[in-house]
Amino acid sequence: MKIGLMKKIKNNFRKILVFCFIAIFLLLGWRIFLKDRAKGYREISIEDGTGTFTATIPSINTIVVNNNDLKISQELEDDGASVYLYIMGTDGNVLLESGMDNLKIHTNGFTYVPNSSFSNLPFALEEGKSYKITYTAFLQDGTKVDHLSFLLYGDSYDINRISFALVLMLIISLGIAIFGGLKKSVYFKTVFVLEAVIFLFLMPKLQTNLETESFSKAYATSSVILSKEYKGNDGHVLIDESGIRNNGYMSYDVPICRFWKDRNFGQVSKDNQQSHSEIKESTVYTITGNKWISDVFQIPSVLAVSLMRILKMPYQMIFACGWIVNFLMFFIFLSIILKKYENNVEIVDFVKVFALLPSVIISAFSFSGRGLLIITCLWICLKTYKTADDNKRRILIAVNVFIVLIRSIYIGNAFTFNAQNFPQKIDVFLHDIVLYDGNERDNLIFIMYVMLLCAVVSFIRISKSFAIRDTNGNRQQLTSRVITKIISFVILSVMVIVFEGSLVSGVSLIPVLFASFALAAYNSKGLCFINQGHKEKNILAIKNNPNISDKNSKGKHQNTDLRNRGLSYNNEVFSNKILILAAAMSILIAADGLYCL
Amino acid sequence: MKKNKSFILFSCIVFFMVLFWFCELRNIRINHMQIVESQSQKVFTAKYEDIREIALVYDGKENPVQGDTVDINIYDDSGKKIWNYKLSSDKIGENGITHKEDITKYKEKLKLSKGKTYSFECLSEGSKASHITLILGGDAISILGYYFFVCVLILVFVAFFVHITVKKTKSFYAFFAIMMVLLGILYNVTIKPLCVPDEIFHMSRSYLLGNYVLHTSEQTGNFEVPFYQSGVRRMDGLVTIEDLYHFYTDYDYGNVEENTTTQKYLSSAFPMPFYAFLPSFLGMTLARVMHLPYQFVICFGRLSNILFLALMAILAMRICPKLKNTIAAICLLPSVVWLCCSYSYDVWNISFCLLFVAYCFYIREKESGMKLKDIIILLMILVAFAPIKYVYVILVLTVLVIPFSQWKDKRLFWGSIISGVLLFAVMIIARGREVLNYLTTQNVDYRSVNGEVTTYTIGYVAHNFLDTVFVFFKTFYQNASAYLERSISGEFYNVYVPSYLMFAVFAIFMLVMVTTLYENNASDENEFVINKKMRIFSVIMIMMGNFVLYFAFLFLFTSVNQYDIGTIAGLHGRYFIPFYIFLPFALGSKKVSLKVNSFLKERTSLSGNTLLIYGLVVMNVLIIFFKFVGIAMEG
Repeated sequence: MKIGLMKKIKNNFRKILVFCFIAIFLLLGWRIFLKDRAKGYREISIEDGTGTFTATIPSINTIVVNNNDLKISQELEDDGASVYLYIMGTDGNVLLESGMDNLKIHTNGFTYVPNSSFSNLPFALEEGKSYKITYTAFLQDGTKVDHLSFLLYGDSYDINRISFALVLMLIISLGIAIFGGLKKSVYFKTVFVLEAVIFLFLMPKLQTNLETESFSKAYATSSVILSKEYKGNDGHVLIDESGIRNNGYMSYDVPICRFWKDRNFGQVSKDNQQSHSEIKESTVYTITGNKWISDVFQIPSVLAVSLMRILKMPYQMIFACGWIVNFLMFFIFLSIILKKYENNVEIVDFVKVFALLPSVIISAFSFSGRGLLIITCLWICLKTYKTADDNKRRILIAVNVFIVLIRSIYIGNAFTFNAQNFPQKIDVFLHDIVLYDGNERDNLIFIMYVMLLCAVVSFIRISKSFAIRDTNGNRQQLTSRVITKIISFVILSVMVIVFEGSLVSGVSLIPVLFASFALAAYNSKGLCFINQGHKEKNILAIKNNPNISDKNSKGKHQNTDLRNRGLSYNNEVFSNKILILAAAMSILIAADGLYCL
Repeated sequence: MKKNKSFILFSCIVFFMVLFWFCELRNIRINHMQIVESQSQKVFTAKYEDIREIALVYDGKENPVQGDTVDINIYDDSGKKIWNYKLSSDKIGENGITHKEDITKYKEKLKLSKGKTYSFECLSEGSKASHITLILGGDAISILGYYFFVCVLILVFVAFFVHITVKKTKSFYAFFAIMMVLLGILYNVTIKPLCVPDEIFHMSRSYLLGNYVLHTSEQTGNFEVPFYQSGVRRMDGLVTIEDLYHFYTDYDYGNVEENTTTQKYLSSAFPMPFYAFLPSFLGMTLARVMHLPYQFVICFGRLSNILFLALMAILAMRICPKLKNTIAAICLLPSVVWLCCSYSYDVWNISFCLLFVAYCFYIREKESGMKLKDIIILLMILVAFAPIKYVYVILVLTVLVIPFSQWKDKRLFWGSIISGVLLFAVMIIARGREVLNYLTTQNVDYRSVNGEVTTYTIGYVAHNFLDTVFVFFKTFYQNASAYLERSISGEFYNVYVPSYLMFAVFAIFMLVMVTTLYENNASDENEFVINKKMRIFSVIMIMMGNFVLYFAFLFLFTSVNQYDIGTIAGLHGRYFIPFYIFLPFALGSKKVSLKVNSFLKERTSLSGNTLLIYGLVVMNVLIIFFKFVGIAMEG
């Protein structure tokens, strides 16, 4: 028994070493960046600034403020205001007068705690007792400020258990990737889902411009479905839930903890089914023109948002349900592709590496429907290559290119792209392909490029896996197809950049890549996947190499697949390494997302 | 056919250059500068008419302006005051232009007549302020001329490069030396001098050495360095493309003979042996002996430094040809080219570190075994670099690669151990107190922290061991990528280099490192170089080198963060470069082989690995170009 264990350890020594190194690295990261550092606050929310509240915390230690009035947002952001808050007992006696001058207040997002220093705090409360609250606030020029919301923070709480569990999930997925390998579909899916959970936790933080714009469209569309008014002044979407309205400035731990933990804040009030505040507009969510109709890829999230609103679920559920429905759709498509092409290792490997790109996982959740767009384009691209019928193939190519371009034209903001600093912008595109819009961090540069390299290598392997003979057995010119791909990628990219304008990012170019690959199959006369040359070599390699056991412990041929797929043994090992490397890089990027809380 | 391809290559380069001009630079405007030196009796003949910027520099040790503002009066040749401006006294630069005041929005425009004589005076609280130099910026122009010049230089470089590559040049060393010097010239033309960290002090030391040779007066008691060219003294503050343009075009300015000292240029900032500055001293002094303009004094110093690196690298390559490509790749890292085209003493460190390691491997392979001559040479090399940066002493462990069998004379073996111990003792006596001081007291490098702070000492680390481990980890996590990036593309101006380019350099460099020892399928021959022991030794050397650097800077530069886990301060990417020489032994792999495709095979006899070295040259040119464009875009 012991000898067997020792032998196993000896055989897997390198794997164990790498796993231990990265696991210790992740745990140290948790200890340094998250333990006792990532925290939220126990809080009482006073959404329209005045009224009565029941104390649920023993003391008020800090007060943070949010402005709901869009008209004075600039003044409050630049010059600040003097804010005085009064807490009274039910008998009307003032128990606390707390104030602060020159407080710079965000609109639709709460003040960062270190920037808030209200006087006479902390203030002790009697838990369960009711208190009245009111406030006065003035701009520098003496104008009265109404429509402020407050959060009364009590003690902070850490999220050590949650954060440790998340890091542990990453370590488990790393273990599965290293020891199990990602060749088995079930292992890959486990790693993929575990990573997705991490990104789901981080989603409130990843609210890029496109993300908020997409959510705006989804929410507006659901308002139309629910026969509600959907747009206010200046394109601001009318939102019932104050939690959604005040969803700005979410880039750090406190608001993320609030998002996932505070069920009292931000909901539609139950008595009148209306928001607490009379202002329903938010600076965070706007739509341009009359583009309230979401594009086809947003349909699942629109339905999810509508359903959650009908069921009057908490605002967090509206977001989460949209994200999860999108992700499920992506996951189903992904599983279908993996199943459909399971006999072609290169395709499966590429799809796996590609799916592990953090940008793709985040896109899978995204309200923009990018995840579905990407997976659809990939599916059409693969189908195009497999189809022998010329007409059918041409239709598929047209559909692929059409989807890419039409969607860009629809969501885009044509000709607003600025060509200055273009070399640096290519940088941003490349970063986005791995890290999603503008989430690059200096310490991720090399990790990001290694992951990109993995994707490129597995992509090149796909090209090689396509048979280079046509149906008549004539040799195809591989170089001409490569040139076709490059030229069509450049042309389509330029078109997308022009159409999408300022919204363009690296993620947008992923479907373009698939569309251009589909285009390269235009004259391919039906490329098939199995490379006979490789297959023969492979069988020879298995026969001649005594180290490759062709039979498993039950005596069954385990390399049959290998023979049929037309892969050489070394190629198999190489592709496995690429997969593990990509998974490890993806895990490190996910960990970095957590460490940045 | 060949000609066609060359034509296409050049057309593409020209196309991209034109594209860059139209997309990035065509709107950039710079002002011509006329500098009226304080030594010139404050009389000048106007070169430009429409004055848009104005700046003042004081040339003495102390700012002669007492009040909050200084009155700048300009008089025409009849003595009539034609213009007055009040400049805040804190905007007056100390021996260098630190601020240029935009006067285009000032109520009175300053218009001069070209060719006419004017004078100026500066009044501080009613009295005349002396030792003030006036800078007038006017007649804004496009930088097309400058850009065109740089582009032509790059094209000439490319033509030369292609010529050498296609001609199948036999001598790699000649290629290497020529390319290094050409890259040095390109850097000189495109990047401002004194842009490497602490370069100003290094230049002062080189200049001071020249003073010892050329003049009777030396440094003052305050370690201030006397300058004999006003332009050299005012080098600090040369920041923008405008300054650079002026540096290369105005030969009337900066050559006033003087003997001025300033507290800005001190020779004592780095108490290290003078010989680290010998290469740049030679170039500088040569230009001074020839009475060349100050621009040449500066450029010659920089060029002689890079030439020194090239020669030392060639020497190391010749000593150990198996490390030829490794050494060449390290020297052709853009950061090394940039460092060595400056006054930095790192050129000395890197050169001798490479030479030391190369010599150790040479002895390892030598048939006749270790001789007394070898020990003397090794000790001399060690003495050359170890006192400059103590952390590199760790490279002395490279002698462990010499197998015991090479020590045929056992007396020699014991003799060298004794002399090694003696040398170590001498080093401890020389700078041991300084090291001990950093390790055990609250003293740190004067450039690192100000005020009352707790710093790391051995005692503190012992009491807070876990916290210190966390500091190491956090530094590694947050900064390792930046260190790597900067050790590849240089400390400053990284922001102008797209990261894909930087990663491409990294990928090429790593490919060289992985494949170089198995070049030409000489795997059997190299078997003894990369065995398991050698691999482990190299990994340990790299890790130890990194650790020692972190450790040194923890005590030297870092203060304890009272509120959170801190990070180690003061570490630069360039410090890690000498340890890269162990990478081929740590990462070398037979499995990765480079095959030259038929297109290249027809045109050159170079191996895949050597072609990658050529690739690094191309990358250097690209990076220089991007840095230049970036600097130009800042205007």
